[in-house]
Amino acid sequence: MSDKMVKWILNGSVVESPERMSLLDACRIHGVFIPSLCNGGEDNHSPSCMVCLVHDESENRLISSCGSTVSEGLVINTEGGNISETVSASMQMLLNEHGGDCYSPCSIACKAGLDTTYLSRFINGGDLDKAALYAQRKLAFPQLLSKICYGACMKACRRGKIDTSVDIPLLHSRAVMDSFCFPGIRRIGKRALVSGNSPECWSAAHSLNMRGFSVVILYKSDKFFSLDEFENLKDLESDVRRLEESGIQFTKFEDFSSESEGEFDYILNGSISGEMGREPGVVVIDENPDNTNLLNRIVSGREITSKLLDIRGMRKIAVSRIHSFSSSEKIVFFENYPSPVNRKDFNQQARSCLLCRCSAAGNCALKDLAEITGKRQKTGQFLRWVEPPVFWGELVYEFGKCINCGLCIKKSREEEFLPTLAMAEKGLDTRVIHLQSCLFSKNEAQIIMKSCPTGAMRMRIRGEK
Amino acid sequence: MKNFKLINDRSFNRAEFETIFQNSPNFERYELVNHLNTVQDFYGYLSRNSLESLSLKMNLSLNEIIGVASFYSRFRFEPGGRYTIEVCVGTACHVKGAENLYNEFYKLLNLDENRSTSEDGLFSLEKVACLGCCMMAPAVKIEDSLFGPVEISDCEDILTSFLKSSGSVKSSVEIGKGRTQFLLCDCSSCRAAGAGEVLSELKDILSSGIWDGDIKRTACTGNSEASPRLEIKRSNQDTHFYYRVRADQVKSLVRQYAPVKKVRGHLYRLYSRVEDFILGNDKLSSCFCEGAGEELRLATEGAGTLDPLNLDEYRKEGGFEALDRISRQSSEDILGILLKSGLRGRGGGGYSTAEKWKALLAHRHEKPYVICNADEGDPGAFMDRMLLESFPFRIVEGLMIAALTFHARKVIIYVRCEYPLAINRVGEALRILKKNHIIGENARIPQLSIDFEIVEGAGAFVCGEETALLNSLEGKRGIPRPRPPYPSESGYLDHPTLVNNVETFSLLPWLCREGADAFKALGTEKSSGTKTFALAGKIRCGGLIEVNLGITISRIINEYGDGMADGSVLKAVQIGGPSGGCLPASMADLPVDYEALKNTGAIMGSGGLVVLDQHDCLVDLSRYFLDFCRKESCGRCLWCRSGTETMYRILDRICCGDGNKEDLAELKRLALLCREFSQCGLGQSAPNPLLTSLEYFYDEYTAHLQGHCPAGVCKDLITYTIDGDCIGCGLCSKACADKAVSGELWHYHSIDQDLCTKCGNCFNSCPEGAISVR
Repeated sequence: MSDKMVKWILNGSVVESPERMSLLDACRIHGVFIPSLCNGGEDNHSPSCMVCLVHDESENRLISSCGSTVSEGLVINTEGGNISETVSASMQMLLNEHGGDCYSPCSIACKAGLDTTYLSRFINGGDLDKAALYAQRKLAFPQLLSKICYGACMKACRRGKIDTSVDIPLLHSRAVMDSFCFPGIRRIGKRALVSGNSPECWSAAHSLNMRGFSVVILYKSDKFFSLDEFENLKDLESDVRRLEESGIQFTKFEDFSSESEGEFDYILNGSISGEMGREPGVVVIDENPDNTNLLNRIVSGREITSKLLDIRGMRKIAVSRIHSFSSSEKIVFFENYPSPVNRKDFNQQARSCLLCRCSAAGNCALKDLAEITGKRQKTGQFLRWVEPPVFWGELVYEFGKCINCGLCIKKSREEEFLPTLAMAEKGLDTRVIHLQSCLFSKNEAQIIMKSCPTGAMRMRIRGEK
Repeated sequence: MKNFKLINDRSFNRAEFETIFQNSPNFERYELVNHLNTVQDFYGYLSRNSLESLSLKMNLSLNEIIGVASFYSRFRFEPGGRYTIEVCVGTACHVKGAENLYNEFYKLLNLDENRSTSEDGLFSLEKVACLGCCMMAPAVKIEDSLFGPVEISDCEDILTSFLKSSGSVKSSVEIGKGRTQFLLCDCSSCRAAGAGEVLSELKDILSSGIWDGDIKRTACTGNSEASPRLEIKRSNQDTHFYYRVRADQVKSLVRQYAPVKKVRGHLYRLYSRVEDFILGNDKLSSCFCEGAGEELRLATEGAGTLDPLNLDEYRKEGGFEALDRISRQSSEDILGILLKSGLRGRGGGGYSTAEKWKALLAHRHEKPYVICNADEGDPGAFMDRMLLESFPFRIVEGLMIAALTFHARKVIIYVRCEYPLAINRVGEALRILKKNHIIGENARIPQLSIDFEIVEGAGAFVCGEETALLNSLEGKRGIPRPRPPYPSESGYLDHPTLVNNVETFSLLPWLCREGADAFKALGTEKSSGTKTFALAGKIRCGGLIEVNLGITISRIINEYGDGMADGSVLKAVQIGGPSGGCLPASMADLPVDYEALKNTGAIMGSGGLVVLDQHDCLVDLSRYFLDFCRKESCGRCLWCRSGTETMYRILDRICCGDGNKEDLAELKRLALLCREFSQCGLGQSAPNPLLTSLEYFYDEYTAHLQGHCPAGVCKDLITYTIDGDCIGCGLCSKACADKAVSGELWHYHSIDQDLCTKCGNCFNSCPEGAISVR
């Protein structure tokens, strides 16, 4: 870049920039935002993603701003014409080849809102306790649900389109089975009273408990979960034991006096049938918050529903399943369920998980741009197939998400890391490789990860292999 | 997915590794591709150990080396069979059924998904983009032996005959002077047709002392349909030509000329196949020389007579005359000649050569590099190979003219690795020239005392693009560079560089010798001079032709190609390979020049010309070209990488009968975007075959959408049935590899549709035409 300044026209007004500065930078300096993914700011950049298009008036065609330089008399428009259309088309193409969802299909499908990929990651790494801990944090009845759920995650599993789905419920149940470890919960000094025997009530209580409330559950002893002949009673008991151990206090309705109600900051009545809600001494929570008489102390059922996702999940799964069972219909869940879990089979299932969930879901330039252009992926029509991630020490590379910008390679050279990445293959198979014996340290991986505009480069999660 | 696992070679020996680099002390970055070639040649594949040792030697990271190696299709990372069978799937071979041939070898070698090498470890099977033997289509190459045209039934014989002959060392040809001369071309395509065997047979006979004739190797006439072509020349007597000579005919043939017998007055005509048309002496002239006559040969001057590697003979034919003249002129004068001649680059784009030279002339004081682009990757084109094999001196002379003009630092000839004979011949030519002090140290003209080097490519189509070629020469991945800066400012190793095509260089000697006016007189106003074309496909007589620019397509087919093949009706002409387009028969009167072709949506390209008939499906052909482009895309630009892939998938869907109406509009939209937003020529021109066929053959696309393939090519849309005229000869059931045809001898046969794989073998074998395709 020389010091010589040139005059050119940007969106109708004359501006000045140093000669040979890239058009993208020059536009940004003059306050015009142009999206860009592949540009690393080097000279002679060869553009690859084609989302930074601007209109060159003198030649009457669209050019990519990151690969062009400013010159005297250039007339550039950044809006109008077919710019947005073409950028959208490029964006759609990028998304089509982006072999990875922001959220894995299995976790989207999970009615209980469990991030199944996150779970599998721990299991893949052999850290069953962590997996169990995660499941217990998310679900009030992890063990029961693992046995009775529909397995919607299995139906959504991407692997199922290639060979066979990963048996996620199996992974889940194996992880939580008889595992009783609890994280220390930091109490926030608030108390909540939850009354009701229904699963969603307990689920709400669990959720509040995990958020630091001190929770008391009021239940009717004669109708413990309304399930006397419940087949999975053992699992349920385990789950109740977990709830107890995690600090929830269970009080029989008969033993509860309405005077102590005043000690609670929040009172929640989640009884579906309503019979308990109408009991004297307990504040009735109406669906309509205006009808409630104790403001700040009462959470309406609807608010909980919108705030605590797992309650919604519970409603869908547990309510229908458990209640239909309680009406004494015999439902056999997962008839062919392997029990006790075959260790070998379990490991095999764990390994076959593709771990589709993106680690950069919240911090992804591609996603941001997709939001701007309003483009979405066509699910199941990826040009590239999702491949299992490759591990290079602390750095993990997911080929499907790579947009071939080469920024990570540039970074690794700039920083003079011992392992220098390189681009390999050609065409749609173009990928970053690392076959040297030296591996990435945590620090190096962090730097590389930050240079990646998508989630193709990520840190290794502890325990992940 | 190609899984990148490097194999550890247990028998690897560091000391042995050192020995293969004994003669190459240079371990600069730009030697990387060369060294990789060396390692691969020695070990047969690239193992982890060898690459690690190389990375230490070259001071490059292992990743970097693998990154480069994996870009080029030549390099392999696992050991293959002892011999590699390469089935050509170039355009001409594709339309003549290369896919079936590949499947046949696949079956013969008992291969499956996990194994690409036969059980005994002898053969591994590969597809290769183009062997440059288009008129011998479909062609197969096993190691250095070429076979063509190969029928499905020949496959087994080829393997056995190859194994039989693989042990014997091929004898080289001796050149001498005698009273009777046997002239024979043994270029790659003639070898594919059997010239090698004829030559060795001839040698055997002559050395056995029956009599003392001489064998002379000549430059190829390009008339490959008739090769091997043996010319027998006796002093003071007629010259006799023999076409399609087979090795077993040589003995009787030579005996006719034995001195004990009187010379026979009539022309011997040999029939290699019963139904073959007879090509005689007169036929040759009508086939190749009518119209413009001998003076038409500029790049191919001396075809059929000149010995490719005989310097004296080349001199006698006017060689180096141009050089002598040029050496007395200033660079500006040379540029003036070029400017006046209107010569345009023959590599494809048709950019004015003079303009290119003018831009470089400003940087003359920086000692530019001169590079000859002989990386001819287009399927369906073989002009460069023919020129390199037959006229190496002429190309080097063209390069010398350029080197003189620019006071070049070095001259590099980049030849693709699929052309071993071309590399050999040019290398030999350079050695001869060095020995005669024409180039190299102590050259008579001081500016020519520079290095002339041949660099072998490693198999990447995109390296035909000049900036990608530069990257490849520098030992990097062959990715096109952004322009500007143009190579004339900053090219090879950041020095100013001239990159021109082989054919452009080969025209220079004639141009400088005869003058710009003579050149300008040929061709049309804007496209002057001549152009070589690789004529192939469904015509009677294919091969390399050199024509006046501005000639019509129908004249090329009828005069040079001797008309359509039997039973074929002209449907379209595919011109320019994967960057060109398909022109319909109605455009047969279109003059072939740069502008006229561009207006139709096709381009001249480097000059592949494949003639298609009613049995060729344009949708299938578009799919074929996009398949080629998507595999050869360097992967840098989004639209070239994913756009071609998407278009290919849509076309694939249409060919399978799953297309819907919106697909055609979507195809067009994608094609235009791909053309507009790709950085280099590959992506910009990749949609051309699709766009032209969409424009001129829209009906064929809509027919496919309705589940019908008019040409009877797309396997999912056709059925083979046996109609009334079946005579029960049983040939079809013999031809069928899947046992789908059944029936007693002399009785009606029928095809079991469940078993039928639609290979079309039965259709081709039926003598009565009783099998129909719908």
